[in-house]
Amino acid sequence: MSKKEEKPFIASRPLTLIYKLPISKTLPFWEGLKQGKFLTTKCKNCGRMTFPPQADCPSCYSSEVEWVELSKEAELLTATAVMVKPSSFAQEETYIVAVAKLKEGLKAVGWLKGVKPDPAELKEKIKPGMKLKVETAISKEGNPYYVFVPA
Amino acid sequence: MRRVAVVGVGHSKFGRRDDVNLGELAFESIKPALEDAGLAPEDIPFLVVGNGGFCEETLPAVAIADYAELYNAELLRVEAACATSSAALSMAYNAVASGKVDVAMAVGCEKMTELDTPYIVELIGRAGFFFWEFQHFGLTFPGYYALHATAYLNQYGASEEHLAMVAVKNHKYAATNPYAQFRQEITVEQVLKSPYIAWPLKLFDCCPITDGSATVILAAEEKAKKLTDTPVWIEAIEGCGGSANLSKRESFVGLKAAQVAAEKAFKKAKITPDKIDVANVHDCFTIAELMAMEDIGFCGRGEAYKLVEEGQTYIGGKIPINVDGGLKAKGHPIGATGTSMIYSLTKQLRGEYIKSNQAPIKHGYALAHNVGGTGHYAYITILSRK
Ligand SMILES: [Zn+2]
Repeated sequence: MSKKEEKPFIASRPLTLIYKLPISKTLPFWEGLKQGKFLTTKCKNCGRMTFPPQADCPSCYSSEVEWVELSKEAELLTATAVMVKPSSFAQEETYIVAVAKLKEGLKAVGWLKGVKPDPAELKEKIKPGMKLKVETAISKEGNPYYVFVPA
Repeated sequence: MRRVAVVGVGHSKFGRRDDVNLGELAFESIKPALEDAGLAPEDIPFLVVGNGGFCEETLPAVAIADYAELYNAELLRVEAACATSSAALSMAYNAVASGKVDVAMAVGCEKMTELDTPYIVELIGRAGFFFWEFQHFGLTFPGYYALHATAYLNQYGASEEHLAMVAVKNHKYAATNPYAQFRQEITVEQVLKSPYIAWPLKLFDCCPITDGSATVILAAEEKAKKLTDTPVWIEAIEGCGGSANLSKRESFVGLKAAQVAAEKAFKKAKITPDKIDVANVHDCFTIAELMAMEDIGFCGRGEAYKLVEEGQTYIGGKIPINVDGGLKAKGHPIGATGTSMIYSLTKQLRGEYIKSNQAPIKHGYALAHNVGGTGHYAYITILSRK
């Protein structure tokens, strides 16, 4: 797998893309995070809760949904530690991404903090059923988000 | 619906192909496919291009059709992540089976190395559920499959050594495949010593970043019999989608979309998994090959790693898998992988594959399992020589 010499090329014109990601319909989720609350949507018609939150019920297609607060209690299902990172995460230390089951039965993907992303420690600690809690946080870029931490 | 056969296949050299652009690379598989079928460019009335969109061309189908001057064809481009060219093949199949056209071509072509690696890692990482997984948590493609590896190893007591055995087998067969990106054999120890990319997956558990193209030409029964003495029939090509967000999945030890697609395909082909003589499965990461074996039904849940340990997935074993090197070692040019699988399996069923990589053909059936994303799309194709 030795790096071979590059063949002749012409560099393309550069292109930097920043998409504006609409959050109007999930605004209470993001506002909630800023106040330390972990919210999601529940359908007023059929009672279906979803995570991530969505403004239209995927079960009965009703658009009458209400915002409910989640307990922040969760259990680990699976996890990975991302050693080789995407370019836009290049400045981050190695991070652990987990899938957890919330007490309400919904699942969520998020960073797991408080466990060292070292292979030996991961092998020992990352077991299904590990008790977690959800904490709210603000990213370096100033955006609210949530993380899991060991309970 | 009419019966449809593969009448021509072509394949480019896979690897870091910084000597060619998209059109030039596609040409390397289009020309041999036309020669194989005994057809001329003007004989192609329907052309589907599979391309995941990783190079500078916004309209890749147009760039490819123009370079090869395939101007007579109805033209479209499809995307189904890493199952893109299986989706392209499915569209071509529909066009022929429905009676709309007698001949159709599916070209899978991808140029991935025009961007430096961190940007490709970024773009492929975005190919999950962008907003809820990538934007905040930076999941990468190895990361998505690592989540499944963690779950599988924990649930069934398999080890990282078992994953390594998959890589060792696929490298062994790639070593004798002239089209493969990696032409050297490796050992379990080398895999285990390679650095972690996304724990518990290591460098040698992961497929490389690849440029490549593969082309398949299909024809309706009557036309196929005129064109070739060795038609390879499409008995079934079935697909299924899966949830965008992993948090909506029931389990992480298999891919539901692949399981459903396999059930549909076996039903359509009216055969059972034990009739498959040779299979290509979507081993973008070693864990994916284990899950594929169970999703297809080659064995029960939690049993794939035992078959691997027994060497049953080598030629001569119960079910030879990825004996062309697989995505792992042949390479994984996203939009070309599905048609590359069909190339290998067509040659296998014709009995004209590379001698050292030819599997014994007893029942006359082969299967391609092609997953897009982490089970966001899945296609199963069953081929026969009968
Ligand atoms: Zn509802």
